[in-house]
Amino acid sequence: MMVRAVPPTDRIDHEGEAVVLVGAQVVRLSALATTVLDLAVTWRGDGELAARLVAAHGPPPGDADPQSATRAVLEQLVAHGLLERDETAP
Amino acid sequence: MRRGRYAVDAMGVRVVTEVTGDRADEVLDRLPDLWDLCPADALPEDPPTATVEVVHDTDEATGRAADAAGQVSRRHTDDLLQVLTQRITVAAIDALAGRLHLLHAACLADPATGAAHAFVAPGGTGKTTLVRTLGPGLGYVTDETVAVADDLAIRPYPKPLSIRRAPGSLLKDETPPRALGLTAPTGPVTLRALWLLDRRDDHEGPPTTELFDPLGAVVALTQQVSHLAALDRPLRRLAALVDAVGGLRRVTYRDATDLRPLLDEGVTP
Repeated sequence: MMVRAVPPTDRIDHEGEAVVLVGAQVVRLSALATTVLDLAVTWRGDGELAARLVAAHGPPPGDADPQSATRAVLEQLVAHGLLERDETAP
Repeated sequence: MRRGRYAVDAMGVRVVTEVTGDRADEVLDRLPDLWDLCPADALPEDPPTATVEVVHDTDEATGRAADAAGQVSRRHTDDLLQVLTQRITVAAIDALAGRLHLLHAACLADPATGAAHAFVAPGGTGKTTLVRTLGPGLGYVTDETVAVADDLAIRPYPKPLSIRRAPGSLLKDETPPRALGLTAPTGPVTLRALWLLDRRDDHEGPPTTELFDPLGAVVALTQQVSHLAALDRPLRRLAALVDAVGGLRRVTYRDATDLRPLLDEGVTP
């Protein structure tokens, strides 16, 4: 899964978290989601993002697989219009 | 067919109400008293303008056609006047889109300094009651919409108040502010404090207050802002506004009279 951040209309940051305006929608982002958007300024794969998120925030809770957990976050950000997905990537 | 017009200053917008129909005078006769605190003749030259059309006629078919065409029309004059106030507010807000922060809030100002407290809240959750209870003796800025610039300057909107005909009634009557002991600010008004109203019937004791974190404040305010996306960089500007007044605080309370100490700290001389 390859993703890239979609620049929001506006964004404010505080202590690692952010609030963004996408269209008419205001979304508050966790520190994890904020990190994803900052990393995905160019196309990134979910494996690379998972490794970087673990390095920055530690492993996901429980026994969750980091790459699966990362994909779940990416799907949410895609649904909110904050990430675009490369549909041609495997 | 009678015809007449009446202009008011709504947040610095010249809103002209054009009234037609054989009952037009029933509306036109009431407007000067209701809108006494919003005189259009005090507006600067060439203000933004908007028009609201009203049809008041004994012929019900004429009224229905007007309603369908987007004009204001009701069988009962009191009902019509209430809807008219709402339409004037919307017309002014639309005219100011992209120019000012438009907060859904009540606001009272120190009569001497113009320093103002804004109480942000959705409709039907205590703004008008707060103004009625605490407003006499202070500057009545608005019970509906605070139009504020980045430099904290507020454009007053001391509109008529919609008062329930009876406790629990869905019907409301437009009431002139002066009839409730309210007067407009006499000088410039500046935002000094931002509160988010949280009125609860089961709250006991004095009001409790809680400071939002900076991001939470902006998220909370965006839910009570009109035309947010029309502003350039609206989140950053809203965050700066919050920061300039020392943050947004949620105040949980039961009776509006309990909020007086909040105002006494900063608004009254």
